[in-house]
Amino acid sequence: MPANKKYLLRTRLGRTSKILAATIGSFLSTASFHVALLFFFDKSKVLATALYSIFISWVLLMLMVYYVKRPWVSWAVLVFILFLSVFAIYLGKTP
Amino acid sequence: MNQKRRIYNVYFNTHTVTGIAISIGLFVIFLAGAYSLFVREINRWQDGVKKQEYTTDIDFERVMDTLAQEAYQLEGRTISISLREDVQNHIRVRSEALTEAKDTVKLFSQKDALARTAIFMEIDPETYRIEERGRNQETTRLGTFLFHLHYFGQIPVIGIRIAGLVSLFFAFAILSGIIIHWKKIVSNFFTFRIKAGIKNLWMDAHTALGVLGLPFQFMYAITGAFYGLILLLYIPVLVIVFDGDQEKLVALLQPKIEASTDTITTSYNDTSINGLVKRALSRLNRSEVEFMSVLITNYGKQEAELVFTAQMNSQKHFMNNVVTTFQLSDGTVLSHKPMDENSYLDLSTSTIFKLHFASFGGYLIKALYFGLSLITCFVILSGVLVWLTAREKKMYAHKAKFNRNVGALFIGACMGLYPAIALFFCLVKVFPNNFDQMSNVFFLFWLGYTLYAFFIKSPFKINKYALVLGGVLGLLVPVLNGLQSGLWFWKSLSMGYPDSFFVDIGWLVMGSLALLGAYYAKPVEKKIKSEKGVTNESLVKI
Repeated sequence: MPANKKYLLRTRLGRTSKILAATIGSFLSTASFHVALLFFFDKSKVLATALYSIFISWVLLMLMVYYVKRPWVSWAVLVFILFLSVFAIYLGKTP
Repeated sequence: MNQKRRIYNVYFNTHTVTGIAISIGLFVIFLAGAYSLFVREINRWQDGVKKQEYTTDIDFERVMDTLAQEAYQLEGRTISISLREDVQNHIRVRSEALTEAKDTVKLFSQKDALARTAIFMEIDPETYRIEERGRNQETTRLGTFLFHLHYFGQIPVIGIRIAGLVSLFFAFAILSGIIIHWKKIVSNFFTFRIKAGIKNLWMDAHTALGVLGLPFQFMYAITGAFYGLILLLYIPVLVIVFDGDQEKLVALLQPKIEASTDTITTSYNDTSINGLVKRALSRLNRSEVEFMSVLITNYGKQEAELVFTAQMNSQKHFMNNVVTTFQLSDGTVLSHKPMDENSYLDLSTSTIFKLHFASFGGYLIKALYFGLSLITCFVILSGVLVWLTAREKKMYAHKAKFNRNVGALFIGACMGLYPAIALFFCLVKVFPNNFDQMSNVFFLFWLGYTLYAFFIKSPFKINKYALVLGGVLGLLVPVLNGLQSGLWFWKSLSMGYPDSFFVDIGWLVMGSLALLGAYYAKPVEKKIKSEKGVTNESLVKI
């Protein structure tokens, strides 16, 4: 009944990496994504949505991290979102 | 195929690990949370007082006079005054400390400095005397105590953040749980194998009730995360978007209502606070007002404004806020927001609030929430039991001791809370004046039961004894209440104390159901040698 071990990550490094990606990594990319949206759309509306969507998207990213097999692939997705958002924030901040 | 199997197993693992990790916290949140739906009712039950009718007749000028006598400097302040109903109606006055503009440095005498401090005050609406000052007072109310407990408020500062994290991971556990259950979601919904082994029984209960409560649980996972962790959104927004300027963020979150064409043109010379409030109330049905507050900005100055807010009957209207802003100096209406004109931000924040606190639809909704919360408690507990019974095979023998210890501790901590709460309800009636000591007794009892569970190990016994204890103590609650306050449950309703009546009846029902459950609880499974469980029926009724 408990999950079959042969499908789980074996190395401690891999597991830790995924936990960090699911918690901190997912948060950083979802938060930066929402902040980036604030620069380009109606602030009030984006913020009103972000009040709940930040948590939903955070959890969805957590699911993504575990859906992907290799830790570095999930990190790549997260870092991609993060870089895209940071770039957008940079564009938004420089007049 | 292999990929599918991998994903199933991976999510199964994350569901199990997060579920076990948050189980105790989540159980406390939902059980204490179920009681805190009725905070005010429990508080009034504790003091044996009647619910007072909400009144819109407040003499705001007298409140201001009371403040002026207190040697506060009122000029330039932003003051909020509202009538609150808790145990008894009281007027709450709040005002932040006066601060100087950033660049000026001024020295104040001690008296002046005191006059500029923040105001926290509760005033009696009948005599206009000050009842309480200061904030952050330790509560001596049972309902409020349970409300604090439901977000671990007894742990200062970080308690609510921990609760927020638990909520967030609850959302993760819900979603990964629904993914692994997806294929069988319809067929298993109608499956309940009572005699096919204890593990299957817990499993079926866990999945069927989990699917049944899914929308409710997901709603609480997200709104709970909002209350605990929303700073994680505000801080980056504040720092990155507004360069640390808090006022801009506040202006975004609480925008000024723009002037509408809908103004009152009738001549009205009374520009006192009372006069303006009366004028705002004149377009409302007074009997439907459930809450009323007045915010005065820049008091005593030419640009002073008065913001009148009323919340109307929450059973008739989901969005029930009316806001009118006046210029205090000449009484012109600056803006007016009727009930049905709400911005998206209003909708979003109020929906989160109302869904979380069940403050719509009256007592029927609250009763439904209470039931669903208990079902969620059962889902959590049966999840732990599935985890435990699934590990009773030989292949887990090397970890058997560890698993059994963890299981006993977790089930003990969860189940122990129920008799502990019942005990607390008894204690506040036996020793009405020693709330602090009694709260210590509550925590000690809870700890004691957890330790006891750790030593007896058998989940069957842990569950059964908790039900017996909780049942007996629960049945004692109305008796002790009758002895202490004279409000026996057979006459309290006709005497006009519905809160006392319903809390007593609630405990009678909960207590007898727990005893019934304990009575019918049998170690169902003989095939599994070491561990036994309670029949499902008994636990549903906790």
